[in-house]
Amino acid sequence: MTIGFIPVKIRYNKKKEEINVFGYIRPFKPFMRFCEYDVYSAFYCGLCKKMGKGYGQFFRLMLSYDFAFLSMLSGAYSENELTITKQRCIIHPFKKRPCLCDCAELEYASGAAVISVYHKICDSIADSRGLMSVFFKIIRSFAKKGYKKASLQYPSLAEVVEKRMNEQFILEKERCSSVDAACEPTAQIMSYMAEGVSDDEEQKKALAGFGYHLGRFVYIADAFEDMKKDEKKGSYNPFCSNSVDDPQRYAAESINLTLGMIADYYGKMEVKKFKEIIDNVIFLGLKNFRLGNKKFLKKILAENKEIKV
Amino acid sequence: MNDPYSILGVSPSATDDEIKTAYRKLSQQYHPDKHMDSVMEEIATQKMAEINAAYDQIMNMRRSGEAAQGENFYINLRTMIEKGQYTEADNVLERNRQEMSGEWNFLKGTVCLSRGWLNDAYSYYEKAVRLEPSNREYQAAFARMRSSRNGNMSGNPYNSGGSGMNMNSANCLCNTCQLLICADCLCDCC
Repeated sequence: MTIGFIPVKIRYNKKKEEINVFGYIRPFKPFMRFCEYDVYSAFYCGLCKKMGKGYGQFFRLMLSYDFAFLSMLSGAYSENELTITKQRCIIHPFKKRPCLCDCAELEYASGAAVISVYHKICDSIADSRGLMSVFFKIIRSFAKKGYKKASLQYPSLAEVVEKRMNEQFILEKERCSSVDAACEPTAQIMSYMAEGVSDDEEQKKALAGFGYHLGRFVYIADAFEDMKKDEKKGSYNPFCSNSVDDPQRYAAESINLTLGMIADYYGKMEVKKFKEIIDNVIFLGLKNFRLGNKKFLKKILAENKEIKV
Repeated sequence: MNDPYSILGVSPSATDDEIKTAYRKLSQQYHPDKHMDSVMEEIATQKMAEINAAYDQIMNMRRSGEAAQGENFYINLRTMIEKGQYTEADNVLERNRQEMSGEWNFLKGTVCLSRGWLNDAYSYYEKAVRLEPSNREYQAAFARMRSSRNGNMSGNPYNSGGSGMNMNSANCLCNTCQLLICADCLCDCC
């Protein structure tokens, strides 16, 4: 990718404030227009507020980019006019930020987010022992009420997530060596979630495929990031158990294969709005997902302290 | 002569391996050495000849009929795949594993691709191309997957020409504007 030549030298200064955000489906900000970024963050903030209001403040801590993208997707498929206003919130008390007003588009994504967060916590309980499991159990107690509400609203989704999470637990316990099989549960969950965004049969098909590979991407990206850690600890990672010579390379190639399919399905989708923003996420954000890893970013920044642009 | 399959006690849909096992088992049972000097010797010899003939017949039939029969088999599979009956097609493929056949690998790859099992699909396509390097269809399917494996995404409006997720990430990301701005977006995303 080439960016225009700017004849200046810039020294990068580390900024201290960094807030932890989850998720791998992010936009690539350098290539976003200001107005696009405002719309994107309006979805992000809107979702955060919606989750707080609808299911309990606890869930706001677990907000992830993945579900901000899901809400954007449901916004892209709806015909309704959306209103964005500048609002304050607890996390940014001093500066007003663009925020999407409470609307139906956010409803689905926030419900889906709550269901998935709850099951992630359950999964962590099953994975951990001793004090950690007690800790997660306490966390789960915060999430229980919100989850009940969400699972009543979206019973089939809750069922699918629960079933697939169990499958995943078994796969990981058996230390499944096939990457494709290991991705399947996450991919199926995301496929089901993405499908719910549209009512049109044709579009549902495209969305299911799109979601499947998006889920695959998320799982592989996560495994990729955790590879070193898992190897040290001896915990399960589909790439470590593989008998390939270069697991890093194999993982990168798996990601690229998945991205290719995401692009194919995306070509079949007919989004009505926000095409530029979604393009940005799909074609740039996903590819550059490693920039979300702070350690990685710090490392490469340390190597290029003084940067000539 | 009786049906060679019933002599060996296998069904006509049995795989080559199953037939071999059945043949081996029977020939051990009726081996003339085992029945030497007994009344059974003559019967055993006769039975042995029968088994040998049946086995040869089946194997010859399969070898000569493979071309014609095999084509039919694959034509049926292709119609199944076209209709979107991937699970059925996969079952048939699994029951008749012919890993040395280019077509088998290609179809297996296609079924895997339809399920979204991309890594498997890639290796099956790769094998199909290796087995039959001159087949255009296999080549096209494989080339498409290989290009996305190298980081291409169809319909990319940014047309980066970049190499996707490059593993020498430091070099790839040296593209400094990116770095700076990414650093920036981390800092004020909240």
